[in-house]
Amino acid sequence: MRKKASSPRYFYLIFSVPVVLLVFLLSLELRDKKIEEAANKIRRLEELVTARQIYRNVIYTEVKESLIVDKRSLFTINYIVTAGVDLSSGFTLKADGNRIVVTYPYPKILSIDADESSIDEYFALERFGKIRQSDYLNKVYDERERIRSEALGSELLERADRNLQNLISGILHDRGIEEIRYQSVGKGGGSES
Amino acid sequence: MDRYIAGISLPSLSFWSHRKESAYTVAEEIGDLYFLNTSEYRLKLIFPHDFVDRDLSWWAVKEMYERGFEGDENQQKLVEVYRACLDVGIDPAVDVYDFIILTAVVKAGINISGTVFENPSRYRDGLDSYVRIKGEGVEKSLSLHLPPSQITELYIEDRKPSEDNFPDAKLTPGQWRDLVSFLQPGIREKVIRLGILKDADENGRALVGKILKDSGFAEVYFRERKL
Repeated sequence: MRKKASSPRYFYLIFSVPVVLLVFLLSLELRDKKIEEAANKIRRLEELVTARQIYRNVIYTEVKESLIVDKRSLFTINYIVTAGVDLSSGFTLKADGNRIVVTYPYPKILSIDADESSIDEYFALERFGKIRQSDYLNKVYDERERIRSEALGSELLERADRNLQNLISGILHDRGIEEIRYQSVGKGGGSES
Repeated sequence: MDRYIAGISLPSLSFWSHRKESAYTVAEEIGDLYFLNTSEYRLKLIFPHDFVDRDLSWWAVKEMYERGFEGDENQQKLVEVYRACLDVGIDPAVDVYDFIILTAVVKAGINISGTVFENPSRYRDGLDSYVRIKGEGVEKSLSLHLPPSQITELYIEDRKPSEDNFPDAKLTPGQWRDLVSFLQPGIREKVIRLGILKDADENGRALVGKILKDSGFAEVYFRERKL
């Protein structure tokens, strides 16, 4: 009796191994996508905030899907930009003869955040579909970069620098120190008071 | 994403979808403020689960809500949380798998604005009640009373839902605003319980003490009360 050529068992073995591997790899990828970091963080700060700028933005979003879903929203939201000095980058007060030399990093933008409590919603249209956070929060997030550019082009950092010097001068003058020299590291250079 | 007509899920085809976004700035306002921030807590929170006890019976809260039951302060808070859930389209008594993720950023430190430190010349005694210097040369010391720390900034960190894999909650901008406004007092209480003000006080003393010692003071003493 002739032996059967190419037993089906071998075909199953050859094709099942890549299938099993593919399923395994897919499940790994899916599992990775579902894991999100949910850690709390506590950290020490050394920042002196001396100026704040508020931008009021109008945002319009429109999402149309599957021919009949029509979702639109129009609202305003404030972005709060704070500026000041990161004292951990080096802040010193040194006596130099009869005067005090204050050395500090030039002010920078410390935070930009959209203030959700300021949202003024003009309308939210939902036809055959509910508005989701991704329909508008992506735009709210992306606007931050434009706001940052605008803030950097405004007088915010100069004002933060002026306020810092006024604050320190006020305190040192109160303690009888009249001559103060400011040296900022980064943009600007220095000034006398 | 869910797209339905009479229970049939439609395929996602790009020519059936259209997105449009536009934005512009209408006004800006610049102001002065003086915060010495010395501690930051960043909390990832899950609404409603992080705002109630874990073993809570949502069915009991639902019943209290539907009956208009007044109860004690704790029960009233639970009913308010349940109402906030319904306002954003979540009913935890029916489906515990719905939630909304948010990251709260809270900073604490000394609010110098409006105090004598901001402008000592406006006050008759200046900083005399706050700063005292003794000795000279290498033995010079300073006694200092710092105002107690307070929460200076509290905001919900901006999030891009398309870049994370948390559920995309069904909330209009107005509903999102109302939810955030409702949660902020609870977040404030939570971080205070966790110790943010104590951390801010300790960090503030360490920071100010270091700056003053580097400037030539042999010792820096912090006093609880005005001098």
